[in-house]
Amino acid sequence: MASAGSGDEKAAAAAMITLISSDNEKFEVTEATATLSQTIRHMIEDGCTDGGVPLPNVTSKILARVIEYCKKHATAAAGEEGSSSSFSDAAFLEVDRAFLEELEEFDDAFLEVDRATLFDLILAANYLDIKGLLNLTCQKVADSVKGKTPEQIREMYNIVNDLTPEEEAEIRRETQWAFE
Amino acid sequence: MQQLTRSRALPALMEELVEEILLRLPLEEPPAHLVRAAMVCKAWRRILSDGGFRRRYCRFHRATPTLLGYVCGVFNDAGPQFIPTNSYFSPPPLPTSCSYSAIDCRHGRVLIQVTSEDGSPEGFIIWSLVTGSRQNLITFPSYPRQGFCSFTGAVLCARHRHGCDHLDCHDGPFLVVLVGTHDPHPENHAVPEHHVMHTWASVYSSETGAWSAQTYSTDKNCYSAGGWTKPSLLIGDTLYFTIACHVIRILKYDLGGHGLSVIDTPPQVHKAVPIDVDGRLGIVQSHCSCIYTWSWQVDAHGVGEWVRRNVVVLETLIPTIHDVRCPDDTIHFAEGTNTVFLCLYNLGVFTLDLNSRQVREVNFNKTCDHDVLPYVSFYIPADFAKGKLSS
Repeated sequence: MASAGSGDEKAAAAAMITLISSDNEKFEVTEATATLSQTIRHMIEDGCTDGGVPLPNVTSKILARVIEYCKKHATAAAGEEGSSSSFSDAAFLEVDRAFLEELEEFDDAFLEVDRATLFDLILAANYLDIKGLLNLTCQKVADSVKGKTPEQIREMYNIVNDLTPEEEAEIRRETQWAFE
Repeated sequence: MQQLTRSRALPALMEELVEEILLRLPLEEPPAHLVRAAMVCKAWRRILSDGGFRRRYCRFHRATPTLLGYVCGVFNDAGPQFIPTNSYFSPPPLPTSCSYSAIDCRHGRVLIQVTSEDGSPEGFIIWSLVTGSRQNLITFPSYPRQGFCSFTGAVLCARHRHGCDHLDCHDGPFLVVLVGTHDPHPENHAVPEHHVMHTWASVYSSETGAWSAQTYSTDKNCYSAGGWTKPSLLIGDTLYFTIACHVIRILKYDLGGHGLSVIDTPPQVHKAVPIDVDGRLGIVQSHCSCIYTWSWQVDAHGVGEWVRRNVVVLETLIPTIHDVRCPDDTIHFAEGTNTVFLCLYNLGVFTLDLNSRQVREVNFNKTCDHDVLPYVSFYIPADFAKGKLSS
């Protein structure tokens, strides 16, 4: 929706923020991209972003991926906002659908990473409080667990079985239907 | 701060993040993913067994309550019994006594009426099938005892009108609504113009520990105070009770305004109970091996009438069914689902999905249960959640 505040929004979108990774690499991003992270949004609101935002928990490799995600999703959000004021309802829905499809394709391609990277993305999404990215990455892991036996899950994710044989036998007995 | 980017294995993720992942395991019926995941390691089992996680999981997936089985009101004269309709819900046994009979089920609770040896009502037991907890209600409202009277009851979560989603209210405050019909002068039956039937209602709140003042209403339409077809039906703030006599009539009780009124059913409809049709009152009727549904429609002049909507011919679905059915057959609606229970004498108990028209035999007991109280609740199986295996 076009609003009286759209001029301010443009100004905000143009403002740049510097993010500094744990290995001291600097990334210049627009405020619109950076504020997909609630953590950074709060820092901006508190006026603590001068001289860059240090992110000691995120490596440059992961931060680059996170920024890639935020850029795409910030653009998509901005595109959706613009479209509603300049298109008819039908055209808006069409554009909306196209955006969503494009975003979905982007997300699918974005998740084509090894497990270690996926976990790092989860940790970064959690630390930076990026809800969409956390949802996307956690869902990817959940999907990989789906339909697997406990043994297969442990093997996939290097999990040590610390249940005693008695505990395991008891769960199995109580919930036999889940293993049939 | 520790360099979290070193993590390479799932256990290294903080427990709250493992919870985020497990939360996204798909909801399925039965929930086998959750049970298999609980066998991976102690940490996963601990997360999956946590009540908070389970509630979050149901809300995340917008889970709806599931039909878990039914309570047979009085089983072999030995009190109520639960009959599961799936393989994974096996609750602790219901309290058994020949003086107990189940009369309603809702929001995870079973309402059991306790009758004294001389046949007078003594009180109630409110039993949560999922948690196995029991609350005794050793009190009964005063009700008209002269003339002929009969009553039935309903149980519901006390927070229902305040938006409770009933995910974990099973042991919380509850309401018991008793309704009855009272015929002070049964001798006037033969003179319809002199014959007035009283209906009454009283509500017990576990929070106040008291019965409300009774609501009364009189109805000049002559009907004998016969039996009640259990259970009740709750739609929004309104409870509906089925009075089964020579015709079926529905007693409507408004929980907000405490109003009582009697609703006529379509003429010639005998074996019928109220149903919820998209939040509005409907009727499902069993007649000559067919199941009919009716809905109340109001025309442009504001005149309402019952309109028959759907017919399911049981012979095509249950091949062993005969054309002429036994008068003991009963039909019951499972609130919160689109399912009715058909209790067919000599055939067993069947569920019929009114939308998909799928029929399932759920009890092969040919002698058949007639007082069937469908039990619909949220439930995530896994006995490891009950602390038996807590590490």
